[in-house]
Amino acid sequence: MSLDLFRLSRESTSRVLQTAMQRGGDFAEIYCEHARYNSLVMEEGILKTAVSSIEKGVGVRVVKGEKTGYAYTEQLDDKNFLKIAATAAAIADDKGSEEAFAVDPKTLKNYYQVADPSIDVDLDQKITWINKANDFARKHSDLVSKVTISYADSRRALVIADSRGRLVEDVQPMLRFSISVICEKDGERQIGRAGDGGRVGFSFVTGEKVKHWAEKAVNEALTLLNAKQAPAGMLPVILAPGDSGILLHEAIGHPLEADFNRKGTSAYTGRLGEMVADAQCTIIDDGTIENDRGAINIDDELNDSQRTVLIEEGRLKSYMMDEISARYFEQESTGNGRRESYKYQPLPRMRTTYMLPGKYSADEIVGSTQHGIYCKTFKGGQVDISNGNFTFVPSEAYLIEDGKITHPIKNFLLVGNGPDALSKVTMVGNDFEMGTGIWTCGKGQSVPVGVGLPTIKISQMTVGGQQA
Amino acid sequence: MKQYADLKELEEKARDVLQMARDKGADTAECQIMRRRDFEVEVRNGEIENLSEAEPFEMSLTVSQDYRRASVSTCDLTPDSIRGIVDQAMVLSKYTDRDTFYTLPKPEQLATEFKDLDLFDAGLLDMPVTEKIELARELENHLLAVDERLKSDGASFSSTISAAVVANSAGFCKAEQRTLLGMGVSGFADDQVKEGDLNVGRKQSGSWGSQRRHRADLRGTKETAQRAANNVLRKIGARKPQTGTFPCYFEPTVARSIWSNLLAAMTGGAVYRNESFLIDQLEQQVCSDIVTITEDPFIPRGQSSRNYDREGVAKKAAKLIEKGRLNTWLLGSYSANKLGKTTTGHAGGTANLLIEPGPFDEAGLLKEMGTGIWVISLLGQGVNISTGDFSRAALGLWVENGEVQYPVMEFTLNSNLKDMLKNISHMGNNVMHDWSVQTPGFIIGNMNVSGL
Repeated sequence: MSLDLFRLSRESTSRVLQTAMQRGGDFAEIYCEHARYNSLVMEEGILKTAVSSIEKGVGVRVVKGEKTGYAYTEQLDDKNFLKIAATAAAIADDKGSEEAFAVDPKTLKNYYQVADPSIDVDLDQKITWINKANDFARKHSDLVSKVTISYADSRRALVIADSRGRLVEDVQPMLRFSISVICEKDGERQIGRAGDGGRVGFSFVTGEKVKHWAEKAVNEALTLLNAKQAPAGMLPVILAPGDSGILLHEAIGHPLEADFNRKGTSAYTGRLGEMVADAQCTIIDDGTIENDRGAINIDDELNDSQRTVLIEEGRLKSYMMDEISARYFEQESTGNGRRESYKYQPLPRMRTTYMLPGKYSADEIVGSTQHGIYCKTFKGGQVDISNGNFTFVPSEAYLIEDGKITHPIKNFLLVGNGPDALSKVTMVGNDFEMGTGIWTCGKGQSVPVGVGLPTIKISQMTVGGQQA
Repeated sequence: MKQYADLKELEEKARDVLQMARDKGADTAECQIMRRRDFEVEVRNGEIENLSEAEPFEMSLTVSQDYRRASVSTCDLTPDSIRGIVDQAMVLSKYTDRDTFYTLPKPEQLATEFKDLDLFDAGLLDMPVTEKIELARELENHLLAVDERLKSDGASFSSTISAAVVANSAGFCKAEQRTLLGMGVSGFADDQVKEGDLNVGRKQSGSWGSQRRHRADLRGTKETAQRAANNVLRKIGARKPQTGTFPCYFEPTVARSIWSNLLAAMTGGAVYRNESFLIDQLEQQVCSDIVTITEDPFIPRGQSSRNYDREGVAKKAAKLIEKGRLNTWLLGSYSANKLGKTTTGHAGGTANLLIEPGPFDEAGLLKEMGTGIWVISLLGQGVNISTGDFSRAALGLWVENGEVQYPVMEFTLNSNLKDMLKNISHMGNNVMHDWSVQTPGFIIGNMNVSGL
């Protein structure tokens, strides 16, 4: 894996960078990607779909202040590289520099060393696990009417060079195993889902895990079959550890992405150093968790991956920076400049966002609640950056009555306001868990991310059910 | 007329790929090749913030052997790469299971007549970049001129010129050129909640944009900016509403998302999978009798106009919902086979949809509603197509006796789509023509509002 895979050499790379900088940009980079994606889907007991795709292209970006010129090509030859470099260069309008842009390889710390990349594993082995998952799910309950197993893996090979003289190679593996089931009883249908993954090798998938995911998906659907309509109005909300970290991703993560703050559109603009959450809350965005779905060795503009403290004991410490924002705020980048592929420009994006554990046990937290709801698993969320409103949608959730988790509830979402919700975090549990490796964040581009949370209690949130 | 690509050559290339697959033993093959020229410029505070261009060239191929199917795609269209990817598809197809429901359309279902839908604006080929930038600048200037509280979050202009071929071994092969232009602008304004409140940095944002096949059909920049400005200003000062049950007026932008929920439930895939709240409802009353939805694939310059679907099946104009009655599922060959029916030409989705307007203008609708919520945006993924359960966060305007009182936010709307569609009580005449789903606003009674 190297430059020659893209029909480039270190010399031609220098020439492309020189062309990109010919009108005096602040910096330029050339981003080469060769990605392979595979997916297999079993439905109705048969392997219905096998898809394999290749994406291979080269993008050139030139940045001048807050201005960006970008172009990419999939026809890999010197003529096209120089053409896209000249297109991107047009964003700047100064005199270029005469200097040559020699690039030197830089070695990275690897957070996802994988001995058995799944992309190279024989399809029969993958299909074996898919069949097992299907069997486990069907055996777990007679009410299972449908099982869908989806297996996906990928390998992105990147070579990135920039006008600051850096040349980096990275190989990003990814695997994701998901199970979705429908259970039916008395004409009612409910869906349950489970799965996991990450930047892991194929041995990540084991019989024990496959059985666990299958049963978890079925149990969720069975629970929902017994669920009643959720209440409506303001109630205390307790979030289970793990995937509930979606709350952080929406409520505080997106609004702290530096582009929104540089442009002044975020509800947190200009609030660095202020208290924006309860003092029990310390929130981190971290790209250095080994084999995690949100791990990166380096971001997509050659800044080192890092563990960034966003909120420390309730106080806003840092935004998530890409290079343009870092220069704007005259700080170092936090290594959050990420992109979906060579077809896109980098933006400030999350990696794995989580809250550090606190002092309460889960029992104490639930026990402290007279009437509220307990949310265990989630479908996803969304946020309006400017006013801070966010939603997230639970799948498995329960009522809490007299300090005990009681009846399952369905058909609702939670709506809150970022600064408001985080100031109402009244208890933080000591039972931190990482979420499952299944989350994808969409901000015009899709990137894999992680979340994590201990059990927490939010004293009041709007629960969007039916029964007032 | 000036051309973007040689369509004959593109068709030839697709035929070669199909032949190559058949030579290697495929029983069926479907191939799509697309070549595009993309341009986008974003302007913020008078400066070009972002300018990007690209010319992607992509191919996808699905093959089957003995009803075992596999798909591949690539953006490397060199002969070696194409041979490699065809081989890969053939190998992959040996691993999948036999699925006899997978067939191509019958020859008599394929489109043979091709109306001129005028989807290609040759003038776009020569449109100078400076003019594109100027349109974005104009949009932003108009926005900022509306009200001094407004700040810009950027204005953009984008264009795509494409040539795409759809081909399959049932005997279909057709290449076409299309253009699509879009422009939009976003603004925001401070919305200081009271002093000492936690959310002191609160802002409201709003945007407007539209897409057209021809440059001459683009909305004026002033009108577009005015709509965007209005979308910001009318949210300022929003409060949380009371919890209760109220009627809601869904303006056209949000009405569109309710229709997309309905269409998702009519899609063959959802029906044969038993994942639609409309199962067993074919030819039954599923909406109130004031709802009629017509699919018209042949609107000249229409955003979703087409002569054929993704499988080459001829499109037809049809009433999908007639006075509330569900006339048809939306089927491609596979879902049709699963359900024992024939394809309706909906592989790859619906074409332009026209929702029949009613007698009321916006003021009339509010008057009919009396007291309730005018919904202007929806947030969150709380829709379950399988059960019809609907729970989404919303932002809107509180209305009393037909008069707007103040904006409301941080609340949820909850109901079930089965009930909501039947509870559509009043249809407006304010059809929005900016999208492929051309809908007026409407009122739905009895929504559960969860707020304070």
